[in-house]
Parts: sequence; C-alpha cells; structure tokens
Amino acid sequence: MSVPASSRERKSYWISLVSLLAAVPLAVLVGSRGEFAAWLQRRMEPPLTVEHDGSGQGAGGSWRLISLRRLPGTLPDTSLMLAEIDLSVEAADVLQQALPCALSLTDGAGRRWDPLPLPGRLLREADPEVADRPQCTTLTIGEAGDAPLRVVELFLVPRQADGFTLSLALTGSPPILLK
Amino acid sequence: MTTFANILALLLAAAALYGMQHSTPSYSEILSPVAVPAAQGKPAQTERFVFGVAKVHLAGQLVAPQFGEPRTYTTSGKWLVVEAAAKAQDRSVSLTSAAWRGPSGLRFAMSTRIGSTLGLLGSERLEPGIPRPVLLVFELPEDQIEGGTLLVAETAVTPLSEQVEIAMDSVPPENRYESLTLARGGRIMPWSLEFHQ
Amino acid sequence: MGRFVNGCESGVAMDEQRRSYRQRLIALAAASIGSLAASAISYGAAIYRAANPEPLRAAVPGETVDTGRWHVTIAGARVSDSPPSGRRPPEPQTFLLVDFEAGNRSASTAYLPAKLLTFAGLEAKLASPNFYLTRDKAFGPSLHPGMPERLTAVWEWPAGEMPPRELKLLIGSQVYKKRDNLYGASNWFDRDPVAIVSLTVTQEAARARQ
Repeated sequence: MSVPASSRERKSYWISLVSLLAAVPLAVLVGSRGEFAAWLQRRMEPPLTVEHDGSGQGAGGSWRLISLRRLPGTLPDTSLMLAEIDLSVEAADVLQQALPCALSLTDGAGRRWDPLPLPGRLLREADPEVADRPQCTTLTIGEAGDAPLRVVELFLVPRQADGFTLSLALTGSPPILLK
Repeated sequence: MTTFANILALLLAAAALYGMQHSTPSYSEILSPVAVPAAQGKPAQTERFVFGVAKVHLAGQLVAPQFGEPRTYTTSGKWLVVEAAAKAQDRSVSLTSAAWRGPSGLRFAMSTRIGSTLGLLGSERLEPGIPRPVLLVFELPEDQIEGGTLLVAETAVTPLSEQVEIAMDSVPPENRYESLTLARGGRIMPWSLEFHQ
Repeated sequence: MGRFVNGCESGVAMDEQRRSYRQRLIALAAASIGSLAASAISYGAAIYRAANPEPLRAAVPGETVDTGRWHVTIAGARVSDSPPSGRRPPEPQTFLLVDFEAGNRSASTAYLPAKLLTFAGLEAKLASPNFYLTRDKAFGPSLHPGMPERLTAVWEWPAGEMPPRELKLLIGSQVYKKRDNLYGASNWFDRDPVAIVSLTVTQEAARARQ
C-alpha cells in the first residue's frame, strides 16, 4: 500500500519506538521478578572492611582477624603467611547457608593468593599449636556453643610482597575485608 | 529481461548462501582456546600465567621412578622431555593441559605412563610472583617432532581460556640420548636428569 | 477500496479470488517441492539403511580391521587367574584376556572406547573390559596417533564358571561427525560392530604357587 502514511500514523510510530527505551528495561526488571534489582543493590554495596582488632558482622557470624604472621617459606625467597580468624556464631542457620567460606590474600600490588590446599604438614612444622584448627573448606559449625571457632589458613607468597589484606568470601553476602 | 534478472538474482543468492555456509566456523573452532603465539627461549605471557621453555631433550628410552623403584619405559617413537618454568601473574592458577601439535596437525597429549611425583605440569599450583620449574613428557612418532608446537593452557575443557602456542626449535644433537633417567629431586627442583648417550 | 455495487460485480470478484487462491496454491506447491523432496529422500534413505544393514565382516586373528577411529588386530584369547598387572586378587577369580594390537587413526590422543570389544551374546553377563598396555602393564592407557600399541583387554568372569572354549568377539566402530546433532561440535560416536572374530580360548599354563 503506497498511500502516504498520515501524520497520526507517523506520530504513533515514533511514540512506540521511543517508548521501547522504557519498555525493554521494565520488561527485564519485571521478568527477573526482582532478582535484577537485588543484584544491582548487591553490586553497589561496598565490601565490609574490618580494621585490625575489630570484628565485622556478616552472614550470621562475627568475624575477627586474630593474626597474620609471616613465617619463613618452603622455597627460596618466599614466605608463608599464617592467617588466624575467629568466628563467633550468631545465627547458625544463616551461617550454614553461607559456608564454605573462602579466604584469599591480596597484597598492595593487587596480586591475589589462594590458600594452600592441604596445609596440615606445613602447619605442624610451622606452628604446632594451630595445626589441628580447621581451614575454611573443612569448617563445620556443629555444636560449638558460645566459644568462637578459629580458622587457620596458609599462603605461600614471595618474600617482597607486602601490604596485605585478607578477603573473606561468603555465599550470598558481600566480602569482608580484614586488614 | 526481468526473467533474466530474476534468475541472476537467484544464482547470486545461492552463491552467497553457499559461501556463508562454508565459511562459518564450526562450534569447536568458535569455542577453542585463545592462542598466544610465542617462540622458544622467551617466556610467553598470558593474562593468567607466564610460561617459558628452558631445555628440550629427546630420548629413545626413559627411566623413571614408579612406587619408588626406577622403571624403564620404552616407546615405538621417541620420548620428548621438556624442562620449563612457569609463574602465575595475578592469581593462583593451576596449569593442567599440555599438548604437542605435530607439523601435520596431529595432537599428542602428555604421556600418562609416568607418575606425577616429578613435578609434571599440573602437580603443583602456581602462585603469583613465585616461578616454579615444570616438567612435560611426551611420546611422539619420529616424524612429528621437527617443526612441532607446544600448547599449554590452564584447562582443556573451558572454552576461550588462553593457550600458549610455542613454536619449538629442532632438538640439537647434544640433547638427543639413547636413554634418559629421571629421578625425584627435592622441594625446590622436583626432578633430576641423567643422560646416557 | 471500492464497494461492491451489485451481485454481478461480486461474482467477478469471487472468480478473481478463486483464481488467486489457485495461483497461490500452485505457488505454495512449487516452493515446497524442495523441502518435501529433502524429507522424502532422507526418510527413504534411513529406512533403506535400516532394512539392509551392512553384514558383519568375519575376521580372523591376525587380520587388521578398520573400525573408523581404530585399526584393530586380534591376536588371541586366554583364561587366567591373574590380570596382566601380575597382582593376584585376594579371592580366586577368573579373568578372560584378549590380546590385540590397536592403532589410533584419529588426529589426537584418545582412550579406547569401552564398546570396542564385546562378546556376542554375553553383553548382559560381562562388564566393560579393562585395557592394559602390554609394554609396561600400564592400566587404562591412552593411545597416540601414529603409534600403534599391543594391549590386553581383561574381563572378569563370574565366579565359579569357566569361560567356554569358543567365543565370538565383536569389534565395534566409531564414526567422526564434524557437526553433531546437539551442539554442532566435532566428536567421535560409537556405531554398530563391523567385524566378528571367532576365538578359541586357551588356558594359561598353570603357574607354580609360591
């Protein structure tokens, strides 16, 4: 039909096109049933920073950095960093959902180290007192009572690395940075 | 005239479709690892790790420990032993995939007959800032050694991870042996080599 | 956008409509000939192939069989009370061993498929075989292209029974599809057996117990 479109048709065409700009995001928002909005909110939440000697609440527990010690490393020019974290259980079921936690060590230059997978033998050589403490992957809440649980992790880092921050990742809550 | 134009348009469309069908990359090509080409002798850098080949040895027979006892391994081709070093860039990384691509395109995976107590690729996780020696052992037919490429990646299964492709120089005659003995080393250097010419 | 004035005009309009219907029908038929022919040919070919399957080739020990991905040469079959690794199991068990040579004809290192060697009629009785490299008794080896190897396939025979003297071994095949049906990825797929080998099972000479 090559009859020239009336001005009314042209106007409604442009109005529909422009309203797409609003309709598509709205469709995404509604279609995700609130998940998209929740994700945006989580992205904009800053991570929880816990200064030394302080404790931070997260995922049903209170986390505190006890010590981050440097020990001589197993390879030349390296150090072993021993991190001890205390966890006080506040809401056991919420905490159970958030486990297993994952600890990682970041230095001033932005490099990131994952904990050594089976540090049992190295812990016994380095510091026998903490050798039987659980790691993040082996942590179970169980019947801890009121005493805080202690988590111990070992990292192998170059000797020059400095300016460390520990980052604790939990399922479903923002990461907790422990300085 | 319009019939001719119609037929011409039809033929052009058929040719265009044929061309598009045959130039579309296959699923495997689309999801293949991202290649990072490199030359032997210089470290190859990717976003996650750095890998460099130090020395290459060729042997007709390999002696390696199994359950503590040295054992002779024979092959119908040759054993190619690559001494290399690797380091993670910004995050802890585990290199688990290594293959040899021969000059004719055949792909050879690392030999699984040798145990992993010798510091073979994948036995140790790499940490940022700490370079570690890695050993790679291949069994290759004689005609696939010259002009081959060493392919090293984090994993063979995740598509679009970076893969280092090192064009390997030919093995010099002083690095070709009748028999090569691998023994367990210490913590710093997990293996030690002995040659019998 | 005229209006139908009287029945005469509407009659003519109906004729035009019917003609245009017929024209459209003819055009539809002409356009769909291609896809109809394609469906008919593919169905017909599939039915024909199913009705006339390729006969199983009878092979003898020592003859190389091309199974697509592997070139298999059967050497022989024997019964033993210990697997090729030499370690005798704690309870006495009977093992059926088939010695063969296999060459990898594909372009990359691969493991032998479980369905490479099966026994005719005994699929329900026996589990998948384990493969051992004859060279150094390695378990579950991968074969590299261009480097054929001698191997032994080991089946655990049910306790208390002895394997029969004559067995028929089926050699399975694999085909390469550049684009598979699900992802369009390239892969090798198991297909029907291509050869049958009649084997005489020999008893291994009794070993002196320590």
